[in-house]
Parts: sequence; C-alpha cells; structure tokens
Amino acid sequence: MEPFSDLEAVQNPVARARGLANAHYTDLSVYEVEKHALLFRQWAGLGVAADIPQIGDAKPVDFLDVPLVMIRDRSNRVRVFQNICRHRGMILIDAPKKIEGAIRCPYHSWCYATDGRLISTPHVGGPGINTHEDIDRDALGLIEVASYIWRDIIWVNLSGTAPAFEIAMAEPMERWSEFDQPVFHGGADSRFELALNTNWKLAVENYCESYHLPWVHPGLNSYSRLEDHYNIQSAGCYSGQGTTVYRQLTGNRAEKFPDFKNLSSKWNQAAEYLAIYPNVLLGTHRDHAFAVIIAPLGPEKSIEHVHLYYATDATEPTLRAQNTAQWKSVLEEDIFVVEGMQRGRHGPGFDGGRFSPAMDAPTHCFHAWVAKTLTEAQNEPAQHSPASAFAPAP
Amino acid sequence: MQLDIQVQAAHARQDSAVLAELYAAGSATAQTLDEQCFLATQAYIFALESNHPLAEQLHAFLVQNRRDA
Repeated sequence: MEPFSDLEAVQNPVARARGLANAHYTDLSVYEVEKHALLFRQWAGLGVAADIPQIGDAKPVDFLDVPLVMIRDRSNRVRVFQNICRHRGMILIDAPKKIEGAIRCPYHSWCYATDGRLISTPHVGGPGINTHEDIDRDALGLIEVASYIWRDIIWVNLSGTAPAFEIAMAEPMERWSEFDQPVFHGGADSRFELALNTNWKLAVENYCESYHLPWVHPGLNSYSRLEDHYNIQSAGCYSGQGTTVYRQLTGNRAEKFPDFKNLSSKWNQAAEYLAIYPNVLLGTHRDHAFAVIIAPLGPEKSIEHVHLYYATDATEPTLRAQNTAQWKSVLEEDIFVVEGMQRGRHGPGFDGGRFSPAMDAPTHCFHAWVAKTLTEAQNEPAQHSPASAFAPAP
Repeated sequence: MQLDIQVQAAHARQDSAVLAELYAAGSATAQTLDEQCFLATQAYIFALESNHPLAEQLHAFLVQNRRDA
C-alpha cells in the first residue's frame, strides 16, 4: 500500500496539527495496517482475569480475527494461547469451560496441559501407537502469547516484540502506583457491553478529553464542571483527563463503597480517566475503578467491554447496581458522538480536523502516537509477514 | 454389543469420565494386544481430559507395551 501522506501534519504541535485523515477510520487496507502496527505490536487489552477466576477456567476470545484462549493453569497462572491445535489447526475451545484435566482437540484428540505442553498424540504412529519418531511433542506445544495482568486486565502483545509490560507501561503504572493493590470485580452486575458503529480509535479519542462533557454529559455539570478538569498526556502510551471534584456515590441509607487503602489526600476528591494506548480506557476513584476494553471488529465496528471494580469483595449489591447504571448511562451518552464522528469520516471534505490547542491536547496526543507508530512501522526495513509474526519459535 | 451402545451414548453426552471407563473395560477384554492398546489409548485420552484416576495406569500400560512415551 502507498505510504500514508497525512502523518507529518498530525505530528505537528497541537495548535497546528491536523487529525488523522478519513481513511484511518473507513478504509479496510488501512485498518489492516493499523491492526498490526497499533494493536498486535503493542500491549493491548484482551479481557479480564475475573473472567477465568478458577484453576482450569478457559475462555476463548477472538481478537482482531486471531483465535485466542485465556486459561488459568494448574499453578493458578493466567496464560493466553492461540486457540489452535498444532496438528491440523483446529479450534480447540469454542466456548467458555472448565478444563478438568487436559485440553483435548475435538478433531483427532491431541491433548495439551493447561500450561500449553502437548502431552498426548493418540494413534499418531498408527492405531494404538501414540508416538512417532518425527513427532516431537516438546516442540509442538500451544503457541503462547505474551501476556501480563495489570488492574485485572489481561494485556497481550501478539507480535512478541514489545518491550516488557512494566517498561512499556511504566508511566501510567507509576502515576497510579497508590492504586497498586487488589481490585475486586463486582461480578455479574458490574459488567456490560456496548456495541458501537465506529472505528475503535474514535472511542479512545472521545474518552481522552473533557471538552465534550458540558455538552454531551450535562448531568455531570451539577457537580463536575469543565473547569474542574485537567488534561493528562504523555508522549508515550497514554492520555486522559482528571477531575478535582469527585463525589462518592451514596445510597439511601448513606452507605458508600469502602475506599482503597492508604491513598493520599489528593484522592479524597480527585478521579482520573486514562486511555492506555491502544485500546483500554481506565478510570479510578477512591472507592471504585472501571476498565473499558475496546475490541475492534472492523474499520467501522467496535464493542466496548466494561468492568467495574471495588476495594473489597463485599460491596453492597444495590449500590453496586446503581453505580453500574450510572456509568452505563454516561458511556451510552457518548455513543451518538462516536457514531456521528464515524459517519462524518465519509465526508470527503473532512481533512482530519483542527484541535482546540487548550482542550484537545489529550486527543492530539493519541493521534500523534498513532502517526508516530505508523511512521515507524512504515520506515522499518522489510519485516516478517503478518502471518509469520505470531509463529512459534523454530 | 452392550458396551458399544454405552460408548455411543457416552459420546453423545460428551461424558469423558464414563468414556474413559468404558474404553478401559473394552481394552481389558480385547483379544489382541493391538486391540487392547487401541482401546487403552481411547480410554487414556478421555481420562486425561476428565482428570480421571485411570489415566496413570492406562499410560503405564501403553508405555509398557511401547505404545507411548
């Protein structure tokens, strides 16, 4: 494909920059390039550890068409594998399940341990003969994907080429180091999904900035005015916004969620909302947190998987449901915006747009990261093909 | 014949633990070593899948007869 021609203008300082051109939101070939450069080669959010809470739990997830499976192995370690048998490429697990013993391929019954080892190859040497000199089980384990758990999110680097997670994400981890303590998923009443007719990047961009709050979320005006917010941006891997007037949710009997432990006084009334590039949106408060994992489903379709977390595993169900409803309402208010911008990307006259130098810096920060990352990918010498990028070591 | 019917039913239910036991029973009464090893393999795989305690002895039988490693 032709090199992108718009990336230089995007990387100008925010006051002079243009946004990404329409093709980044509508063109399938651009989507494919971005899929590799912006998602497979980064630490992307795949799911949450709360989805596989018990040893042996397995949940298949197709991530940008790559069949993956998240498994909690016998040693209680969360692992992510390509969800395919090393024999004939059959899908191994097609629905969430508990692995009682081994993972058995439903086709010819090659079996794998939950840590990915190939442990049996029935009849591979003929009927009743389960070995063959040319079949080296040790070299045919499941293809593992680099993964890391932070804030209960299972982050994956499909290409295996990203720096270690703690290095890649050092800045946001340091920023929220006070919250580096156990988080407890609220359970079934604390998760929901939103299907969006939009490119995944627009969901990130909208989340980054507070500029839209008084217009799109007028209900927040009553206690959280635009001037109570501040921008957060890092040239590296995240941007977002913060507020200085967070007010705790209070139930009918004046009950509140318990706070996370040992927070500094700043967090009495502060809350922050970070977009961790590429596809995870996080929010944290003194008494709860949330994560939104955006799964791209094509150039113009995405789904948001939303999870709410608390400081203890014993929160009050009614208050929890109220909190979920409140956040769902806020996130639903954003749908017409991200879908409207998506439709707008079919306007041939749109040149990527101009940013407010004062208000749009976090969004521009994301655009600049996209542009820089794509530029670097374009300038790299011939790379391995996408198909070989996730191959097991020879 | 009765065993065949039970095996079919267990396959239909995807009941790996029962399959392990049925195939193991079939292996125990098979006439030739090849038949025994074929059925023991079937039993072993379903025992592995269901974490059935039979897995260990089935594996040992197969290894003893140089059918597995």
